[in-house]
Amino acid sequence: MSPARRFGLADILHVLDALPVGVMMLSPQGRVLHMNRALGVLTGFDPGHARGLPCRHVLRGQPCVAGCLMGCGAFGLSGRETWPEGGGPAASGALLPGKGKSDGADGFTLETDILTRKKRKVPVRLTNFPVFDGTGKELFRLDVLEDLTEVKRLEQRLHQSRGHGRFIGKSVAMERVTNLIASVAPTVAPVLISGETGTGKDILAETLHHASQRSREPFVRLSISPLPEELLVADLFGQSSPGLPDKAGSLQQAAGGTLYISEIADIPKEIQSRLIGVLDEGAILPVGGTRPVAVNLRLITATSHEPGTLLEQGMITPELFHRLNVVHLQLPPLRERREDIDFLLQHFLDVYAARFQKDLKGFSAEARALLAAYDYPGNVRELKNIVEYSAMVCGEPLIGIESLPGHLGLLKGGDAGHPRLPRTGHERKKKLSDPAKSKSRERK
Amino acid sequence: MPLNAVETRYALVTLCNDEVSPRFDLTAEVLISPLLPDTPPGKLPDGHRHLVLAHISGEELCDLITRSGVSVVICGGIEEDYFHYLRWKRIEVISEVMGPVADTLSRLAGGELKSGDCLFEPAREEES
Repeated sequence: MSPARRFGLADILHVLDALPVGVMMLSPQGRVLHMNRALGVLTGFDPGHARGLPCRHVLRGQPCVAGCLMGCGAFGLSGRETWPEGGGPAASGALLPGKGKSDGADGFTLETDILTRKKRKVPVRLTNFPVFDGTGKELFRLDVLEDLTEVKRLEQRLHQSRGHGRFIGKSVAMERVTNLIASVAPTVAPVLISGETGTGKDILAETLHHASQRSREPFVRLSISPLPEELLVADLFGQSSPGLPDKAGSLQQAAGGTLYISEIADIPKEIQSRLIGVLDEGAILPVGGTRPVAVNLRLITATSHEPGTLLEQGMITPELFHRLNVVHLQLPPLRERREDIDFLLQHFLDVYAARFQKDLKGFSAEARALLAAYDYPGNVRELKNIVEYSAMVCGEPLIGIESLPGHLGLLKGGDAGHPRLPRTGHERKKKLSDPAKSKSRERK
Repeated sequence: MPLNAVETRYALVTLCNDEVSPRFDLTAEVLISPLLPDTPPGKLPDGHRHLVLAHISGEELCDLITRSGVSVVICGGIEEDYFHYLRWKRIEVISEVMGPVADTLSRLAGGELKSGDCLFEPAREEES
């Protein structure tokens, strides 16, 4: 006698209920015969109430609606299926999972998502396979569901740590920075990011935080606004007043995580010297407080100036500069990595085409030539804005020169087939300031 | 205004073949129907129309619902975001409904349909 024969239906269901993964027994027509406890918790369905329902109304996975891979053809049938005649699987002989001999599919595994009764989408791995009796007759099918929420979360973190999140680029210069992220992110060393406006300093700082072990802790961004110095000190270091609750500053808010200061050159000298104390001692003294408060944070700073200029022009004290400049990441301007332009144009086009629900295929050759020749003084941010505008106004599948922003249209000149933009800022200003001159030239 | 001149209410049902679609965001077809209490059970009310969606998208479906002026949406599973958005737009959402669309509309017209209702016939094992 085989071991399966010794078990009755109740024993099998008891074993299924003890499993930590979701399991559903289905009739060959795709109706729920039994759902174990783990699946009840995952889907939010009461296993008793789910019995007899079409599985597509219980699992509600993508393939259930798009076209069931079981090929059960249950749509259109009425009523609920119950156990096949003969009183359940145990009465029908040995249970043999595996290759199908019946009309249905052989079984499959796929990653999909299901919608729970709590109105939440859950990513799952779904494995479906038929179970046969000794004569090759299909008794039932088993759906095994593994919750992939945690796996997907980890995948996303790994994806970000490789620099493929919001921080993108294919040029050698950007690859160098991307490769450094993986080495720098896990450490606690202060990082100084330099680069022109629009090169992605903020995104790089966020990427470093998300790739670090502090990613679950806060990421606090501090932009130094033109406030009185006393208020800035309170904003940064917090305030402690007798009889009133303590007010946490940015340094305390970032405890355990990362504090990102977006322009280090804007910090007044007084605060710079207090920051040195924080970096050296790992403690702060709130305004009005008498006892230092320990803070454990990582400091990332950024500047749009050349780091050498910061020192030369006295915008930052050498003591602070050398403490912050442990790791220096320099983001090259877009005009120095022109090989990224095409890639970024396509990337942002995909983003905005999806956002505006337009079927945009790309840019016309003329528009692409114009965009490839442009200087992008506002760097990636400007390129992104140009694509957003073009995608917004364009009504054709291909974005033509007429859908580009006005300032680019003004600058287009030269031969009709090869529009040329002024390459330097000086040349550009000259051309913009004297449109009459360029018109008279055209008339000739 | 005379009492019999009350404006007809319309319902939108997400469809998958002849059933309420199990997933709102994966719905490719909808039925927009007036709520007429005298419709025979199992029949669709006069004046109903089917719409096949150009794209399968929860956002586009929400947009269609708000533009079409329906007062009730009947669907199966629906994500929280869409549910709250429609409620915020003052549209009644009867979700988690399972069953054939004609029976669902009959029950709605009779004022008996509620979220979580299952309109499939009872299991044979329960009958016996």
